[in-house]
Order: sequence, then structure tokens, then C-alpha cells
Amino acid sequence: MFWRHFLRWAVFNVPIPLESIILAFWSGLFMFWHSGRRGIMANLSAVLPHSWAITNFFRAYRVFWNFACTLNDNARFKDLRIVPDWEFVGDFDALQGHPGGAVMLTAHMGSYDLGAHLFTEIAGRQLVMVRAPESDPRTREFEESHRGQLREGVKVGFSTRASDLALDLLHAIDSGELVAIQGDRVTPGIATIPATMFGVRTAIPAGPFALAMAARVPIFPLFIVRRGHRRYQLVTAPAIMVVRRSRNRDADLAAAAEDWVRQLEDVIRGSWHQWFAFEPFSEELPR
Amino acid sequence: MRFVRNRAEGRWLPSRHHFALFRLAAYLRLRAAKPEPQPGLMLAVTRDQSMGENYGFAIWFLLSNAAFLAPYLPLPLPLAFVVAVPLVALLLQFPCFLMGAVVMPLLTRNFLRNNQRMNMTVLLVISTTLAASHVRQLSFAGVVAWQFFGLIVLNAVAAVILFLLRDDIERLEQALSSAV
Repeated sequence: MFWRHFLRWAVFNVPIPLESIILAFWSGLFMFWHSGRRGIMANLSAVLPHSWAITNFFRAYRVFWNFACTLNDNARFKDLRIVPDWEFVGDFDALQGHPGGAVMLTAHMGSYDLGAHLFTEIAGRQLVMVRAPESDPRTREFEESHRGQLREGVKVGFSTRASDLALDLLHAIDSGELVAIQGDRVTPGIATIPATMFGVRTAIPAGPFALAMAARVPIFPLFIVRRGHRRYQLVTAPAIMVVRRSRNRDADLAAAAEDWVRQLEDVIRGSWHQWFAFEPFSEELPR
Repeated sequence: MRFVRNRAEGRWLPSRHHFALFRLAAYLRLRAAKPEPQPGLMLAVTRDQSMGENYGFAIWFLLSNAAFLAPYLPLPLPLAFVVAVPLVALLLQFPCFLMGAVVMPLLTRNFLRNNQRMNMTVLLVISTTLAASHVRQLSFAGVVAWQFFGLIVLNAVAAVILFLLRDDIERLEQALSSAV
């Protein structure tokens, strides 16, 4: 909670031309966050299998630096309306022009908040973002109070109320809205699909795939990648169709999940410094 | 909010830069630029969008102040300079804290929008004072102080040139960007 207030306060006080010095300084301090640094290094050992631990130690700094820059850009957008540069890569037109509702599957990369707001601004579509709630009630309250300043095109649903939320999301898709869900990390209590990512066993959320199957809509993988100072790429990968082909529903979901994992691997391999996963993504990785 | 769409040379728009020296350089670069169509590109026309300028200025500011601070540290100069770099990164935050948390709230109720500009001014005044303390010495810090003042003067000259070119700049920018 303190950090959220501090970041917002810093946005109003730190002169922009000097912000990179301060971000570099604080990213260095985050290297003392042992579990976060170890988590990044464990993930990197799977993403870049022949890398050395010492190299991954310095790579962890790059992840913290990118995370800090992303938080800063997000805060500057929310509070000062400073918009970064954008590049649209891939078949963005297919997503923008898709009639009716759809599921957008994304990962903890770049600034997904910023991407969501830009998307609604450009596409003129209603977007529902599903995310894990903040565990601290005061932090949740802070987040919600600041969300009120944003565009009305973005609504937020929390993934803890799985049964209630599923019906809400189905209704949203039926109404032609887009539902954005993060599909690279599972939170306790949600249904999962076993998968193999970067050669190690892991689990990914089952919800987006089940939702797409129930609503009979495609899944559009979408990644927000930071490409430098106030510059982001919005990468749209080919749509994934979740089709009921057999009587085995789980097998049909797993096939779609496999497609998603391959696309996720491609993007993370090329932009490992943008993957903000601070815990090992698999039980098989060292902790 | 204005954007340049699908034109990569839009990155040289002077309005995307902060300091006059960089704005003037961007203007000259834009005049010489050929059209670079890049579908899917959307460049925001706001100050501080230039990576080269932001990182360049930050590194220049950090290293210059580290050079001013180093002679005061009880260490051999090369080592003192290395220690001074992170020390400056830490110290430059204190004026921001002090101004933002104490001084500005006392001066005005609607202070948040002016804080960044005020803090930048305070930091530049501190740097200028430090530079002035070295400028008469024939030393490493003295040379750095001379380039510090030299660049400040050059920036002021660039600001005057930009003022004289304002109509041409405005025309160029209107031709490339559009409001969203």
C-alpha cells in the first residue's frame, strides 16, 4: 500500500528527464528482494536453458528495471495523461474487426493496464479485464478509487468469484464485449490445465479456454511488450479456436491450451526481460 | 492529444523533445528526413518522448554531478568518482522529497502540477552551484564544470533560434500529426 502511494507521489514530484536515474537506483534496491530475484532467475534458467546463473543475476536487474519503467509509465498515464508511443504488430485488424465478443488472452508483460485503455480508445470496444484481486483490502480500495479516473470502456472483474464471474463474462461476450484474461499464471483456487512450458511441467488457467468454448468465440492472444523509453508494442498472435471435437472436453481444452503455450513461449523467449513473473512458474524449477 | 500515425520520421518532431538543444537538433533532423512509412505506428506528440534525449540527459546530469561531488569525498579521485555516481542518484531524490512534501504544499494548494518543474529548477540550481565551485580550478571537476556551463549556454542559444523558427516548426508539426 505504501509503495502505491509512494509511486503516485513520485510521479508528481520527480522531473521526467531525471526519472531514469531514480528508476535505475530503485531497481538496484529491488535486487535485495531475495525471493523475487530468485524467482526471476529460476524462470530464466528454463527460458534460456544454457544461461549461467551469474548472467541471470544481471538479467534479473533488467527485469526489475523494465518492471519499474512499466509501473512508472502506467502511473504517468493514469495521473498525468502522458501517453507512450505504440506499434501494432501482427494481425491487430482481425481482432479490431472481429464482430461480436471474444476472449483476449494476455500475459504479465509490459503494461497491460495501459494496453487495455489504448485498445478501447482505438477500437472503440468495451473491454472487461479479469485479474487477481489485491490481497490487501486497503490496496484494493486504492486501486479501485484510481480506476475511476480511467476510461469508461474498461471494466474490471476479479478472478476469485469464479462461479459468479463466469456468468458475468459469458453475458459480456454475448453483448459483444471483449474479455481480457491473463493466462500465464494461476492463482490459488482456480481451475487449471496441465501444460509443458519451456520443457518443464506447469499449469495454466482453464477459465479462458472454457469460456471461449462455452461462448463459441475465438481467443486472441495479445501481448504488450515494452520496447524502450515510453515505447510499447502491441503484439497480436493468430487466433486460437477452442472447438469441441470429441466427447472428452478436457482434451479439447488442452489442445487449445497447447497452442497458447507455444505462442507464449515464442513471445517470452524473445522478450524475457518483459515477463514479470517473480515466482518460479513450475514446481520443477529451483526455489 | 496529438499523434503521428504510420510515419516513423515523426519521432523527430521537436514537440516530442524537452530541451531546446534537442528540439533544435530534432527540427534539423526532421527537415532532412525522408518519408518513412511504417504501418501500425502511433507516436504521441508530448514532451519527453525521446529515448536518446532522456537517457542522454540523465547520464550527463548524473556524471557531471558525480564529477562535482567526487573531489569532496575522502578517496582517491577515480574511486571517489565511482562512489559518487550512486551517491548522486540517491542525493538528487532528497530535494524532490523536500520540495514535494514540505515546501510546495506550504506555497500553494494546487501544487502537484508544478512540482516537477519546480524540482527540476532546484536540482539545476544545485548543480550550477556545485559547478561554480569548481570552474576556476584546473582540475577534472573544473573541465566538467566548463562543459556544464557551455551546454547551458548552448541550450539558451538554441531556445532563441527555436523562437525565431516557431512558425516553420508549427507548420511541419501540423502537417505530420493529427488529433485523436
